[in-house]
Amino acid sequence: MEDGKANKTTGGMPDTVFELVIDFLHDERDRDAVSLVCRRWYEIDKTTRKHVTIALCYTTTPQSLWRRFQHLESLKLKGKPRAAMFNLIPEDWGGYVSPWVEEIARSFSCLNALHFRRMIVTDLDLELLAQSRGQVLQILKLDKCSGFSTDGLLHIGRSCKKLKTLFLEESSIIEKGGEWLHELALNNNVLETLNFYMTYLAKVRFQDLELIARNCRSLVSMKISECELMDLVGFFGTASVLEEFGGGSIGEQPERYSSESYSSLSFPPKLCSLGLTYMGRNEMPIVFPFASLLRRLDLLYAFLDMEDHCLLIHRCPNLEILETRNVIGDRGLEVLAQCCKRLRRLRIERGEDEEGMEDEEGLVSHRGLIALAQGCLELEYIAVYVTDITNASLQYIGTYLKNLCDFRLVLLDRQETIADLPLDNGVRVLLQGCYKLKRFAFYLRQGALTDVGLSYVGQYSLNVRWMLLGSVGESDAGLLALSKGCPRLQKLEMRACCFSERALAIAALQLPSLRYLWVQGYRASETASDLLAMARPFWNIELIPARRVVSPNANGQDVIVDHPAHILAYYSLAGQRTDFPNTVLPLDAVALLNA
Amino acid sequence: MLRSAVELDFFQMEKESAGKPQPPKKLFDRRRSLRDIQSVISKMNPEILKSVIATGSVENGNLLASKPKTDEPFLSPALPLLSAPAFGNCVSGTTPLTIFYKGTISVFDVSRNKAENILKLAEENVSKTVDSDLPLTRRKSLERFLQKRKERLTMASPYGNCLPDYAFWGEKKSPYGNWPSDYAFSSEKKSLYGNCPTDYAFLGLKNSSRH
Repeated sequence: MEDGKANKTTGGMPDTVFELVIDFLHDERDRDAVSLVCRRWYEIDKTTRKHVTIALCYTTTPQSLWRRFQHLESLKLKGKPRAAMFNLIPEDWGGYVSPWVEEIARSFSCLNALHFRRMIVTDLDLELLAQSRGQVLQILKLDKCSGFSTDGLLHIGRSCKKLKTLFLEESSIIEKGGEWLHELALNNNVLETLNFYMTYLAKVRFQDLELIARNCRSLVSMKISECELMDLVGFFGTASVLEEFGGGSIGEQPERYSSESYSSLSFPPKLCSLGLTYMGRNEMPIVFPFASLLRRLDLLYAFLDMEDHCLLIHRCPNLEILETRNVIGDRGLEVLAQCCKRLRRLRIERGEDEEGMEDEEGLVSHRGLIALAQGCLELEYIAVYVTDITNASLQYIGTYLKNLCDFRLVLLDRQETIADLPLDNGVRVLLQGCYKLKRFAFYLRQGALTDVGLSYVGQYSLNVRWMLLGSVGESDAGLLALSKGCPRLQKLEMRACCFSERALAIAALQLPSLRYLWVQGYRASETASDLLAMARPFWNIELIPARRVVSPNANGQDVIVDHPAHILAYYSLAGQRTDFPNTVLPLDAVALLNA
Repeated sequence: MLRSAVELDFFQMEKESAGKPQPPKKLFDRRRSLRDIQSVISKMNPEILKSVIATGSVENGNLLASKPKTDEPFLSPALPLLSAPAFGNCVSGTTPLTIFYKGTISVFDVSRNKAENILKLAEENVSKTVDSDLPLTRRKSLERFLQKRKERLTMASPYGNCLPDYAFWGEKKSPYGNWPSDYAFSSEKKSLYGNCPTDYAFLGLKNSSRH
């Protein structure tokens, strides 16, 4: 950077000063603002920017990225729409990392951290990455990715000796063997975080996990697939600085290990984040000795009922992050509100619906939310599936939870009548009160939010950048009212609403910050021609037409599932993408208008 | 005098006989395609339609004039009794409304108000069908976990519920409630909880002497 231009001054200050100061700016929006001030500052940002997140990989090209940020050290790329996590997007939709990996291999010599989320990765990509960047790669995250096998991971394990983080959580990996882990264990001694949670890799040898613990003295976080927990005694004994553990499996080998066997397990002393898969009431006491140290608890895949939750949570006063299913119930939330004053993040997922298969009291409603709002004042993130809701509970949240940045509520259809609908006033008070809210999801049912309610959402969501709306509004008027507000809304997802294509198009044009729109469930026109009202330069429009997919139902029988059409629209500097599968149709505005 | 008849082909019989999609027609000067209405009405509950037609033929021209009788499945309390339609060129007097349904043809002399009401009724079903076509789906990871949980639960007993608890744990437990309070069960319910399969899995059939 000291390249002779150091003598240049801008406004009386040598540029070196700005370079040094700008280097301290890491927030993306600050950097964005800086780069727009003048050409010189654009150049400074260009050479000093360390990290870039590309929210949708099709918005730009690898070459464009290279032209601007040649010294990039860290890159995060996202591919498939969020709906892919819910099985709504065709597997071959797109989001291939190959063009990016090719450019990275060719040009980005400073890159040492890569995060691919919901993208398609092949073994060849991993091989190329390992060959070209293996020496310098410190962080590799294949987050909910698919398309690769353990062969690809073999290359990583062999060549990436400086890898501190290998994250594979929820990726669909074709398992050919367990050697990849062995190679990693042999070749690496700096690993700090290893995560293959929810990958269902079965050929993992616990001996290799022990080897990793022995060789990698800085190992701080380990989250694994289902591997009998009692086989990890050696691992836990060796991983002395471990702070986080997730996965394993309790009761995988009932003939070898009874419930009582688990009481002999001894965990590393600094462990403060835990999630034991299939942990039941009988094994729960093994956590008690260090429960007061726990800052993070994952009960999503545990076999606990509501009472068990109460017993456990009661012992965790330092809990900051809790993830569980709605079996926690309102009573569990009341215990949480009483005992866990430091709670920052709470995620309550939808548990079992089937009658008789779950704790009947294991349901969350407005009652639990009211307790939570008054008790856990430091909450920043709430995601919850409720069976009943009232305006008052939303008002409590708006009144008490001033630190809330992310609020997601889904109203389940379990209860036929929800007494206190619509939720117009509740959502208004919530949005007015939670002024820091940046992410907002409200998935309801017909009649739960009127057009007036939608207008409140538009009016009062001043900071919200991402929104997911499900079954809201009564008519196009509601959407149009929403789109007159939401000044900072960049990404909008809508499902099961009654809006017409015309209204969607107008909304897309009116929302001032909108750069990404996803919709499933809307009033389609015959040729999608109404959507053309939003056609403009740099705005890509894609359709996933309605499909019928054969997939296994809960009983394993093949059933035909109707998938209604999706609309996906986004700003792109790269023009229309060229890798469409046959399930996705680009809306070629020019061709349609000329037809 | 011939007035313009409003024809609603409820079950797209015209479409089927023609063998190709009908071009959209204008109805009541509204920008709404006939196909829209057809598709919407075709999703209506046939029982509802039958009672519409029944009441229509009895109270000729007063299709929706009175409050619904409680035994009629037709109008649920949730449906609003529609007031005068916001409708530019209302013509006083009635117009024949022809309904084709399951091979029968019914003609009603209704005011435009009433015919409009029928259409609105049909439209209300549109948003309902959108919702029911789009059920909430679960995250993949949870779906898989719940499947495994189900497997473990059904493994616990050939009858698919967790009675083994009772069998193995002796008199301290009962599937019919009355759990001892120190065991932290506070209400009467069957022991169909997540911990059951692990009990079974660990204790096996042999350990009935436990506790």
